[in-house]
Amino acid sequence: MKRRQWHELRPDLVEQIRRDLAANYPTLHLSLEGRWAEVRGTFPVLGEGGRVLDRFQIRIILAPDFPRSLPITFETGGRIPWTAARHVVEHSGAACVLLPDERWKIFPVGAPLLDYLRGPLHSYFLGQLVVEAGGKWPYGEWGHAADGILEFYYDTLGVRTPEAVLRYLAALKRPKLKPHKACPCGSTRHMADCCLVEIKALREKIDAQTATESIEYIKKEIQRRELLEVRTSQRRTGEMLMRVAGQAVGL
Amino acid sequence: MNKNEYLQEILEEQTFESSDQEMKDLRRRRDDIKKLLLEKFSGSTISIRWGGAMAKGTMIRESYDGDMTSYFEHEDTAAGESLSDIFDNVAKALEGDYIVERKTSALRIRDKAYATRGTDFHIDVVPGRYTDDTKADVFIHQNGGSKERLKTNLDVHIDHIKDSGVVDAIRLMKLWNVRYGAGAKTFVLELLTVKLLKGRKGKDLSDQLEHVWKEFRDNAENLSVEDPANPSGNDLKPALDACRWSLSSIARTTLSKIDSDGWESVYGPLKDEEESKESKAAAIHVAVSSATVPTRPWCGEK
Repeated sequence: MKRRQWHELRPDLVEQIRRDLAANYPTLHLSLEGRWAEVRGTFPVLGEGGRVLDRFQIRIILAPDFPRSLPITFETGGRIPWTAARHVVEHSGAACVLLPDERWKIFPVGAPLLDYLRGPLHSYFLGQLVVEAGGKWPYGEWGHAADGILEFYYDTLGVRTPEAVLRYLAALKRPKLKPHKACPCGSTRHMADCCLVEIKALREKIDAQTATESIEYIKKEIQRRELLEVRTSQRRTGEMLMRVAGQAVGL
Repeated sequence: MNKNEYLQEILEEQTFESSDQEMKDLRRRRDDIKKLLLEKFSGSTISIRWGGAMAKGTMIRESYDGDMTSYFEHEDTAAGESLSDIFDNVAKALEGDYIVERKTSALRIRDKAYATRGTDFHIDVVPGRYTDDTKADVFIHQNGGSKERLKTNLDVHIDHIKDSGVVDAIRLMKLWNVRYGAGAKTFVLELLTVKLLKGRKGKDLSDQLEHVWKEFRDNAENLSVEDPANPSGNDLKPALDACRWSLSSIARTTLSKIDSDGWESVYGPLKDEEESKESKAAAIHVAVSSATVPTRPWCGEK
């Protein structure tokens, strides 16, 4: 049986989005005509006193599991290059607006779409204007892929290794916490006697799916680093052997 | 300034001059692509020319693309036996120098250079093959459509729009479509506008636009168009169905905004020609420092 999409289950949310867009972003509208629900039109980057500084043509896909899933935004005017440096996915053109793990701080699940438009999306396009003019991302940028995820968890958890972050994420991913298990902080104490309260609080903010996706990113990064180490070591060994062989010939 | 003078000013803002950098870039890129294709298919005579908005005179600054034909002769198989082969082989010929995005019937060209990778060149290359030696009708390949090939005729399309007498209204409708994300395919919107304005050539622009929007609002279910180059073979109903509701809904909002706040609420204030790059940069700087939710972008790729 075909799974029903959010807009079929939540007509109230459809109405709320339409009302909010009409009142605050009249050049955007919600369309339910395609395969997925999407917001289309032009997004104004606003300056002082609501002055429109510039506009970007956009399309925001609200996937079937919205509002749990993040909106997926595309700049459709062909203005922003599809490069990681401009925070656009190269193969699809999707805008990398925010780090999913950080979502709870700025656009938590259930928050109105308006919060996404006014917050991260506005920052994103304002940043694009600055970068387009030759400047740097005005509020900084997360490292790409696993680097950004690790930076975020290093800041949030105060740990310093990918392995430690993975232990925490495993605790976020689990359907149920096991307090008698070792604490992910690495203290060797039981979670119940150590960081249980903090981890419970984190589970309220970062859901299991986000944690699972971040685990995948970090594991891939660990594999990449390991492969790089093996290759570096092989190269060094090869160079050493060449030197030894050269010296032997010289003798 | 009255409403029609305002609309003319908006059109003026949306008009490219031949000396504008964007136009120079388009021409330069077209020449590069032409050279590349002629080298790759050196034994062929390929008809490479501008189609789309460039040829019809309906281009707008806010959203512009150069559609470039790449039509092979009727008997020519240098680029492939089938239309699908031609589509693929032209794409492959371009892939050495460009990132090529395969669209329904066209190939979108993006920059491949490391430093500027992914930059959109605003050019679509449309491969095809003439149906016979008269070099009028063309078959083009269709990805994912109901038919694998589509018969079309560029000159018929160009003449249909150019001779309609409502090019200004078409351009403003295109701007409206882009600005509000109505989602109508440009070709469908052009045909709709021409059809709905039949017998209204002499009316003011504002009257023409209001008429089209009223039709969208009140008669969306019955809107229909046909391809003048292939009335029975190119079914445009699915393309129209995909935007019918949006056209109607946005037209309703637009008309009510004109009533309550005037035309400027639809197309926005006219640009301040005096505004310098410096003052825009200063305004952006102020916006950056006063953001209420400053966030950092991330990217899932390296």
